[in-house]
Amino acid sequence: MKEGNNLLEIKNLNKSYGKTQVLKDVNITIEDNKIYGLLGRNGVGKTTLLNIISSQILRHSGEVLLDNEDVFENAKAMEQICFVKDRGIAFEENKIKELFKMAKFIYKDWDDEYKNYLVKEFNLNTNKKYEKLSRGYQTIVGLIIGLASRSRITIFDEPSLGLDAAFRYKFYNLLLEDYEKNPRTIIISTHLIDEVNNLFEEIIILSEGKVMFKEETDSLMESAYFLSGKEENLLEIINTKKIISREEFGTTVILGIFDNLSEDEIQDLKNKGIEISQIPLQKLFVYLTEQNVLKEENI
Amino acid sequence: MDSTKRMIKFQNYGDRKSLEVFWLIMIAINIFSYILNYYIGTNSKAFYFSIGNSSTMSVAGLNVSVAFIYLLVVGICMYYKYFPIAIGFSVTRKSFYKSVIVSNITTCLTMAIISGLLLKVDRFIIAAIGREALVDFAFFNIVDDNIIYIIFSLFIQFLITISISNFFGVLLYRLGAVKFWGGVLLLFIVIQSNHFKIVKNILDSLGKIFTTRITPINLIYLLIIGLILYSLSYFIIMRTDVKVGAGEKS
Repeated sequence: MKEGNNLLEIKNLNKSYGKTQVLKDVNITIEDNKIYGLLGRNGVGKTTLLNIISSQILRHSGEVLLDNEDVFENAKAMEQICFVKDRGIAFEENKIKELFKMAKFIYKDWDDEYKNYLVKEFNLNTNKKYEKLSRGYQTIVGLIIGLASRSRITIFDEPSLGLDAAFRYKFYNLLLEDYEKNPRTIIISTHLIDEVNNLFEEIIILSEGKVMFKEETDSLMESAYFLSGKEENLLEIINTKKIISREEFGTTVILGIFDNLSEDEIQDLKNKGIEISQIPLQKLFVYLTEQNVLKEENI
Repeated sequence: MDSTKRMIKFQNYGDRKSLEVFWLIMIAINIFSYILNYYIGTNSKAFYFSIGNSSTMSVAGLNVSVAFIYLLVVGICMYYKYFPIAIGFSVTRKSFYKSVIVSNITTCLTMAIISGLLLKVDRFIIAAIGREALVDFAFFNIVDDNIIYIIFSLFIQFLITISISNFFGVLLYRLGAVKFWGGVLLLFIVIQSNHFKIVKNILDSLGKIFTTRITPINLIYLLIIGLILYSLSYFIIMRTDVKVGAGEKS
């Protein structure tokens, strides 16, 4: 399948736990051979969404289609999805090498050679029992299964949980390296946004159980600026653009804007001595979701 | 290889290990029992690690009793052990359930073959150690019935046992321990109560079918019970979420 084709379509998806509706009419289209970042604050429904995509849990209404076929109870669709959870996997009392053997049975495109390479890279002792591993190494077992499964859609939920910085960057590099050689669709749900934002080609932000944004990373970043300067020189911007943050240091105001700036506007601001810089993704995410939370709570 | 076959292969890998451990332990106990009973002497009326009465005994008969317990435990634990990892590894519920049935059948068949063969050999060893062998069991007679009938009888009894424990296993996974054991307690009270004699009578009738020699009519009844239990379990598991642990995330 060529890059850019719709691979996974989520239509009008709803899910409740008791009286709490976690997902509300979620509509998302996931394309082939792209890396997605799934972002959202705690409790907005990220894990629920991923659990439904991978049929771990049942939905109340809506559709999850892979190549136009519903994924639920569809063996052909399901064998193309690998979901690496943030929590420990079952079979905790088993040795790691046995877990890999099981994964080899299940995933049809499993790459045992690549698994061996990853085991060496992460210096993982496969003779140890899963339950005896540190939290970080338990995460690594999941990452190795995700990468070596070679599934067409690989989903990582909090892939950096318990990993030290060295292992986190090793994982990001391995992921990119493997993605170059074996393109596929990867969905990463994480809270360490700045560390991985260079991986993401597209970003999906969930807020209050709904899709708040789904945009190409570059286009999202190009719409978010910090403007720093005297307030009187920023008045026009304040009145015409969407402001998502404001800080004051003496007479200097730093505005976060989430809007498009034309070439003329940028030039005009520069002429007025306004400094323009890009808002880092993590900050942008905080500002956007904070605003939404405030809006939801009518603050 | 399709996902059902891969799942069967995966489950068979786990089952084989459990069965190997089970039979290694049982055969070790059997050998120990023969030796122990031999040294106690032929004059002793006591017998150890075996079943029987004051005059006859069967060491291999104990294996059958323990096998029933093993099958109850296997069925009940199956869903906590395999369901999350199977669905976690992107296997469909239907493929998982097909592999459960295949696993149940192969486990029962393996149990029946090994138990049957050991029962046939048992009376010769018992005689060799100077004791009298128990040959008449509720389901068959070791001397009069051929090995195929004995294995078939054991297989059917084991299969019905595991269909019951499989159903309990699904309910336990679906409802959680508190609701499940609460339900079991309630059922126990209902059975014991004089107000619900019909429930007790039904269970008594089922018990009789289950503990007598297999006839064509009994076989049909047993297979219908098994079919109903497997169908109910399928219906429930198709509508069951994988448990993601306490403090479920959203």
